Amino acid sequence: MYKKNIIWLASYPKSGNTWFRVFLTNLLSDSDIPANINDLAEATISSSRKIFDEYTGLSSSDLTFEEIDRMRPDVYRMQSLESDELLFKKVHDKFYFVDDNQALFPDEISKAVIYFIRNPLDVLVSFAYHSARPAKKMISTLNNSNYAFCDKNDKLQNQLRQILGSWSDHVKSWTEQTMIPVHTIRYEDMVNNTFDSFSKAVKFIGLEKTEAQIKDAIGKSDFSVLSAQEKEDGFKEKMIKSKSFFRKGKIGDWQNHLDEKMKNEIIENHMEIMVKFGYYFK
Amino acid sequence: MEKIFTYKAFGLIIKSEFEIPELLVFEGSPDVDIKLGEVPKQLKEITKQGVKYQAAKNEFLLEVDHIAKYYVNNGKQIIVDTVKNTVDKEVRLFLLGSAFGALFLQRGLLPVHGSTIKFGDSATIFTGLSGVGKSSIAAYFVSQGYNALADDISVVNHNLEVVPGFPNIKIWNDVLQKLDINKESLAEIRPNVKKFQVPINENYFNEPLPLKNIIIINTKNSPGFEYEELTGIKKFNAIKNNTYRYRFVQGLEKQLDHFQILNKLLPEIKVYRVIRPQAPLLLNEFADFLLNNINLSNLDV
Repeated sequence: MYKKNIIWLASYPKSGNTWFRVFLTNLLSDSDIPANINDLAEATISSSRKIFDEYTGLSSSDLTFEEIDRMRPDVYRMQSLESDELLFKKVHDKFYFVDDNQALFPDEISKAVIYFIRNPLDVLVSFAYHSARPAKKMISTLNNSNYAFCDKNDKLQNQLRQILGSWSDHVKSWTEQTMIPVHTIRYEDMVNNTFDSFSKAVKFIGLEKTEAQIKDAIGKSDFSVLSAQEKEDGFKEKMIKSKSFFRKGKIGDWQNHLDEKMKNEIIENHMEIMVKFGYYFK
Repeated sequence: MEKIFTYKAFGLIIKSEFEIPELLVFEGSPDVDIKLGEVPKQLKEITKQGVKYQAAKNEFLLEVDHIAKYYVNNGKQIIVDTVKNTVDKEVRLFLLGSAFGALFLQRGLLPVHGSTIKFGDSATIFTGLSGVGKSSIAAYFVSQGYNALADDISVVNHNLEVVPGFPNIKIWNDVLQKLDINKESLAEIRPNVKKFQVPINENYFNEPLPLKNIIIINTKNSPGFEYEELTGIKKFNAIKNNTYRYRFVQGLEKQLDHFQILNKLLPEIKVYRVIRPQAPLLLNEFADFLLNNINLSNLDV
């Protein structure tokens, strides 16, 4: 009875997820002008409190984190049932089980996951900027196995709690799970071999688009376009403390911000995954 | 004979088989009956289903895991089937929330998701998405001596008045601290949710008041406050979207009633979208901005 019509766009923060989401929006739109970064649909955010409340008929603010987690798979099932089209949903949670029998992201409604990965040294610098915190202080965040978004239980935060774990936990949870077909994209390849990298993702999802359509969508999602739009009207997904969401997007920018000790702390903690994805060579 | 409790809330006289200490005691012939008992496992002709509810014409069934099931029918009766064999504050929380929401819609009333404050001789509802600060700004106004009529669900009746709900505001711990409210004597809404029931007895206004303003609160990730008055279709959609549990409306087949009360109401009220910075939550600045820019008391100026 279920249809596999959800595609999860999963990543640790600052790894190219939003860029790809804008690209997809442009690819699926008929408009001649670039999609507005502030019009990315709310329904595409898997931690949306509004969507959860609407679909459950309850107030998430009256529920515990565990109760919410146990209902989230059903919210996705219901969204899947109600949709005749492919649904793309951005995810920052790691992949995990909410109880013995079910994953937070149910396989029976999942067509695929695209997992975005980026050199954790650059993630660190970008994430620190995004959170308006010194890079040195963000190291513990990337290393923290219990790291989560919106996990304060004495105030109401604007999104549902999202458990991320450490950077390595996050990567492993998505790339090593075997329930949903996963295609991993390196941010560095998105920057250096944009067409090739985006085309492979489009093919993996099963969208039938021509080379020209993909190139056009890439052009409309160029960093300069997104950055200009943000300068003009702001971007609602930016954290309040940071100056801009689309900052530099540069590869290797960590070299301008991290000292040897900071670099080594990340490498020591994430060596296995960094080697596996070509970010560190023993 | 078992004791029967009678209350008045949201303009309705409510008879209950169990005590609901949140509500104000009243006497009179009841509009609504609340009973303990078994509820149907499944509704027969479901129009709309959610993860935890089923809705049909005049029937509504809600299940809250490990707490209770609620069956609401014809806007007249609610049957509560508790899991724990006792009615505690958790059972009442979802009764006074989603189950009451369905009850109001079945009666053709307009429940708006938000809190109501009395300004001058009229009512203003603060609405918006969950987490946007509806209860917080209401609690702030109460702390400044204003009166409140309702928190979380504000019901508009057919005379286009907001009817008083019950004398209680639910406030999160961080806001209690901002308002300097001592939480020692307060009860958490549930054992593991750090939101507190704050009684507002002296600042509770217990008469219906004509609704004059609806303020939709939004947030943005930049400093400063902004506002605009909404008109036309934007005004209509804004209230539609902030109807408490709007997805129930379709399920209960109440679209026509809902449309009619909205259409009657819109010419009589002003609707504003007010945008505040996401953080920090500056309640006094926010309140000043509202008082300085919007004619909340509806005095002729």
